[in-house]
Formats: sequence, C-alpha cells, structure tokens
Amino acid sequence: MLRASCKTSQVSLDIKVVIDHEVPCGIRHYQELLAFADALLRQDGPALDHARSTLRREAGDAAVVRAAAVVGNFQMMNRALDALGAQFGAQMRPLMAPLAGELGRELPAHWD
Amino acid sequence: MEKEGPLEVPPEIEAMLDRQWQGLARAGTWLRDSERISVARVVRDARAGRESDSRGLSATAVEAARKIAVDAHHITGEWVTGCHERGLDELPMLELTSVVARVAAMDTFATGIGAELTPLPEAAGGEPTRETVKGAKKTKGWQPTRGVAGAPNAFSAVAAEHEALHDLHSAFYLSLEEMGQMEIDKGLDRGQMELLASKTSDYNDCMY
Repeated sequence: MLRASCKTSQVSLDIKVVIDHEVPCGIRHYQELLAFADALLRQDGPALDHARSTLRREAGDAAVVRAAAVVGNFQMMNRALDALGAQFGAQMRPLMAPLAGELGRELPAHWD
Repeated sequence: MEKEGPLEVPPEIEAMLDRQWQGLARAGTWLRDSERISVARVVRDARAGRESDSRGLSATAVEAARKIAVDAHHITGEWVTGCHERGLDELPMLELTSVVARVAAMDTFATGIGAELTPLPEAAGGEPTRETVKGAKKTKGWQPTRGVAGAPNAFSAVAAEHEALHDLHSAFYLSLEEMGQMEIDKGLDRGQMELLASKTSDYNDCMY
C-alpha cells in the first residue's frame, strides 16, 4: 500500500526508509513521522515527548493525532494477522520475497 | 520539557473509543465481562513488562494474552493448537485475540497523543451470547474465518469482534470503502499513513 500510494501521488520512495530514516524520501514530514512512530512503539517517554512536539510544530495537531491513530490501528492488525496465521500460497512468495529482502527480512515459512 | 496544550481528538475517534471500552466491559460472545477486563489488564501488564496474576483467567488464557500482546510475531500454528489442547477453544481464543489487539491499539493511541491510559472499566454484566457465524471454519489460517483468512476477516468467526475491529479500523485509519482512495487525506495523506503502517509492521516483525 505504501508503494501504491506513492506511485499514485508520484512521490519518490525507497522502501529502506522504513528501517533507515536517513534514506531520502518524498513523503512530507517523513523523518518527523518515523521518529514519532519509533518512539511511540518503543514506549520511550522522553523521546516521544520530543518527537510529538517536533511533529506538532512541523505538521500540526491533526497530523499528530492521526499518526497516533494509524500506529494504533496497525498495532491491532499486526497482532490479529500474526495470530491468524494466514497462508497466502506459494505463488505470492516470488512477489513478496524481494520486498522482504529490501527490509532485511524473510517471509514466514507458514505463508505457503 | 516543552509545555503544550492537549491535542484535540476528533469526535468520530472519541465516539469510537467510548463504544470500544463500553463494549469491552460487557460480556462478549464467548468470554464473560470480567474475563474480557482481565485480558485487558494482562495486556497492560505485558506491555509494561510486569508479571500478571490470573485474575480469573486460566493459565492458558494468560499465556495467550501475553503472547499476542508482546510476542505475536513468534506465534506458530503449533502454539495455537497447543492453546486449544490446553483448554482455550478456538472461538474464545479468537475473541481473546481481538480484545488484546484492540486494547493494544487504544493504549498506543493514548500514549501517542500524550494522554493517560483510559482506566479499565468495571464489569458491566451480561451473559456470553455464544452466537456462531454460519460457514466460519479454518480456511488457510490457524483460526477460523468466514472465507479465506486475511486482514478484513481476521475476526469474522466472532461477529461482534469483527464489527469492533472494523469500527476501530475505520476511525483510526480507513474504512473498507476508503481503502481504495489513494488520494484521501485525514490529517495525514495516504503516503504518510502508509509509511506509519509500514514502520509499525516492521517494528512488530509482522510481514503481513
């Protein structure tokens, strides 16, 4: 979905920005958003206070609230899907493996 | 420390959060009201790195709630089957999964906006409905679903939890109708929201 949205809006994207915040990216306020999400997920209070203030100053209150909501939503969906163990079939592996590789990960064995 | 005023939460999110907590306090489809609140308490203990006492839950239910709360990416089909064999049946486990996932979502949101966590509600009564969903069965997944296992129907074998997931998903992120709108803006544009989704999934080691 990230790639699809960037393609639609003609925004440059190197997916590695997800794991390396210094990678250039065309998404507005991407470094502030990633710093906020990182601090929130690590439950690092001081870092979160700083990241929230920075994001609020740069992108506005509505952006902070939506960012917290989106991270919250995927906290739910990640747990739902990991517990569900959905099998996408072997045909999906060639499509998804390169993406996983870019993020330094491997697809779960049970996907097939 | 930078001093700032509280962030304003949109009414549709406030209303959704009220529905979620009120619903969580009532008996569900398979779990009693007190069990649902105990599961929520175990989630908070696990996320805070605290031990949990049973508080009326079976040892298997406590184990499952903690695992799903903080170690979901290590779940295997064998572990899910083992939970069933130790007394946590399929549909109660699916409801437990939903409660864990939704509490994690709501607590993350509260922390994100700099608010206190919502106090866990008092048990509000009711009896589990034991409502079943026609046609729900294991279809390419470890837990039963209505149709092939996937994100939109992850909790579809328990109708009330399916509705609760989509209620939260719509208010926090996007409704199913909005999912196809790549140019939507809800305080953040679609690319910004998807970047946060990817970051969260990477942190959680979730490849879905």
